[in-house]
Amino acid sequence: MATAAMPQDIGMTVEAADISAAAAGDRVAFERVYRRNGARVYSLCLRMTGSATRAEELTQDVFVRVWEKLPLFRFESAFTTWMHALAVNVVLSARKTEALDFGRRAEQGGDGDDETETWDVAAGPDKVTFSGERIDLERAIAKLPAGARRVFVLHDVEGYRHEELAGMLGITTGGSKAQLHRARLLLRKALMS
Amino acid sequence: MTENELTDREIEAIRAAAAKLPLVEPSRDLWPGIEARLGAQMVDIDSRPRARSRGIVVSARMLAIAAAVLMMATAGTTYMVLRDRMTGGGTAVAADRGPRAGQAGLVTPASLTVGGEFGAYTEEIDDLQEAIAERRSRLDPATIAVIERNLRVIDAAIEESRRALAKDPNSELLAALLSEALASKVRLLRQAALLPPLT
Repeated sequence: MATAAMPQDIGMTVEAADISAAAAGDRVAFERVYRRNGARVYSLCLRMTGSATRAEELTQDVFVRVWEKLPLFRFESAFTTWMHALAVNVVLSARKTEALDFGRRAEQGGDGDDETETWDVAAGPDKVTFSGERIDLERAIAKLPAGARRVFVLHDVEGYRHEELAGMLGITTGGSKAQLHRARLLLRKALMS
Repeated sequence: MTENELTDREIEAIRAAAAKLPLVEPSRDLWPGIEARLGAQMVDIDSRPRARSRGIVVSARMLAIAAAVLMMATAGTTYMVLRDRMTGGGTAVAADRGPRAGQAGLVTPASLTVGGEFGAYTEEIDDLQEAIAERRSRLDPATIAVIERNLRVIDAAIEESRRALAKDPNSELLAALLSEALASKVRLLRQAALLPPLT
C-alpha cells in the first residue's frame, strides 16, 4: 500500500511500506515491524536494566510508544535510529519514574551513582541462551551497578558519545567518563575472576 | 597496570567484545501484550460509574448532538477533499480506518474531566498539530484552508459536548459524542499530517 508518508527518493522497501501502513493504523504491518525489530529493542532493554522481566515490560512499552509516535515519523532518518532513540528514552524515563516512586535520593542528583537500584539482575541473562564467552560478558554487564551499566551499554555497546550520554542521563561528561571507567574496571575484574 | 587503571589494550578488548554482543530474543512472544495495549489508552464506556442523573439539561444535549452531526457531515466532506488531493487515492482510507483514530463508544477517563484535558487524545493532537505546523509552508494552501474550516467545526462540537457533559457527567450519549468528536479531530489531523508536500 502506498501512502503519502512514503519516502519518494529511496524507493519502496518492505520496511518502509510496513512503517507507513502501521502509521496509518495497520496493526498487521506493525506486527511485522515488531518482528523485525523486537530483538534489537529487547537487547537494549535487557542490557540497560540487567533484568529479563523488566526488559520484556520495557520492550512492550517501547513498541506501544512507537505505535503512538509512528504517524510523526518522516523518513528523515533511519527508522532503526529513530526507534532506538525512542527506546532509550523510554528506558530512561522508566528509571526516573521508578526512582521517584521509591523516593530514591541517588536518582535525583549527582552523577547517576545509583547503586540502590534493585532490579533483579540475577534473573536477567540467566534466562537467555548465549554462546561462548559472551555469556560471561553479558552476566558481568548485568551485575554492574545500575549507573555504570547504563553508561557502559550506551557507550561501548550502542556507540553513544559522552556528550550525548551526559544530556540523556542528566549527568556531567566527566561523570559519564567516570562511570565508564568504573564499569570497565569491574568488567575486567569479573571476567578475570 | 594497577587495580584502578586499564591499559589501552584492555579497553580495546572490552569495547570490541561489547560491540560484538549479539541480539537477544526475549524468552516469550511479547507481541500479544503489545497488541493488547495498542488501544489501551481508551477504556470502555461501560466501565464508568453508573450513577444516573436524571436532571438532564436537554438543551445542552441537543446542542451537543447537533454539533456532532454537523461535525460528522463536514468531516465527511473533508475526507472526500483530502482523498482526492492525496497521491495514490486510497491512502486517506487507510488513515481513516486506523484503530487509534477513535473507536465509537469509547472514552478516556481523562476526556471526561471537565475543565480542559482531553486525556489520551491531547498528546496525539498536540504532536500532530506541531507536525502539520512544521510542514505548513510546503502544503497546498487550499487544502489547509479546508482542513482548518473543518477543524473549527469539530472544535465547536468538542466544546459543546464538553459543556453538556459538564452538566450531565454520567451521560453515556454525551461521553460517546465527545469521544467521537475527539477521534474525528485526530483522524483529520492524521490525514493532514500525511499530506504530500507541493511539488
